[in-house]
Amino acid sequence: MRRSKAIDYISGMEHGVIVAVGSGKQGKSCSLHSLLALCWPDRRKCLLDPLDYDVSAFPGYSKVSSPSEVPVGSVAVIEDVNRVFHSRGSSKDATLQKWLGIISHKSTVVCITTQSMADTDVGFVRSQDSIILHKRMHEEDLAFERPEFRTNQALANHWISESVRIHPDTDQRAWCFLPRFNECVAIPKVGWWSRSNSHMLRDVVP
Amino acid sequence: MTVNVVTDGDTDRILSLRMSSQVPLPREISLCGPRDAERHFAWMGFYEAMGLDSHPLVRLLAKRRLDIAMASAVSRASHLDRVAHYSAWLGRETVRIVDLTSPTSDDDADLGSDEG
Repeated sequence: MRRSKAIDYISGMEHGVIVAVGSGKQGKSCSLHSLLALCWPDRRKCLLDPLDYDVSAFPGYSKVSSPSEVPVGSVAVIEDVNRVFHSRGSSKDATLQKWLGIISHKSTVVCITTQSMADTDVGFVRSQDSIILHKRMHEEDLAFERPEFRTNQALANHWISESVRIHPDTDQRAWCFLPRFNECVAIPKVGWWSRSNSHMLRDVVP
Repeated sequence: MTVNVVTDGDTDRILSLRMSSQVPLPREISLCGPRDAERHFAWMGFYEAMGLDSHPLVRLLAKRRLDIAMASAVSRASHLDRVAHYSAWLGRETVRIVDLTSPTSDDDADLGSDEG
């Protein structure tokens, strides 16, 4: 069995932040939830979202509306993070900073998905043990990415293409690039993932 | 390992050109200027034809020539180009590709062994 430094490290994380970034429909959420299932099959998980929707499509997940409701020791997932915490929100509202300041005490892992770091509050990557997981990003979107992340995203695009070339039989959207570990990892898709998961916000009124 | 590079449009272009090159080159040649690389291959080709390419003296000479070519290539490049060069080179060298979806293939491949 192959070993991945990144997967081993994430499995041992008690608290921290995991950021899945990439253009739309590149499999960010799928890879993120698959990663959680792979690393922490028994850990408590919840979706943090003020919108009201059914989470029964996510076996074992609960739904919480605010950071204060996230149970101790759990993994909190925020889909499309800038819907919940706006791009530069922490400069106006201290909720995010207050929460991220205590996730190490509450043993919380915060996982977010976002289409671009330019649209994401940098508070997420500033203070805690944060791991960026890059999916493919379109060239047009790359031009607007923050300069701190652009080189890694360009590398990610290159290495994901390279991995697809070397492993043509593996699902293209399984590949993730983790610059911190210098690894391009294909994460096996979790069994329950389906279209109802990837389109869960279809009927939600924003 | 993470390489952070503060770039401008021009460097981005150079970096993406460097990274989009699909030709697997040994790292020494990647760092050399094209003329140095051509001369090196011509020189090595001669010794290979003579069946002497694995002779210790030829290998020692080849290493010295490469060191000189690399040093001159790096010193010729402008600063940002050098940084882009170097980060692309590090990226090629150290990224591991791990396919966890097919546990049957257990060849632990980094790119060096995949493409070398």
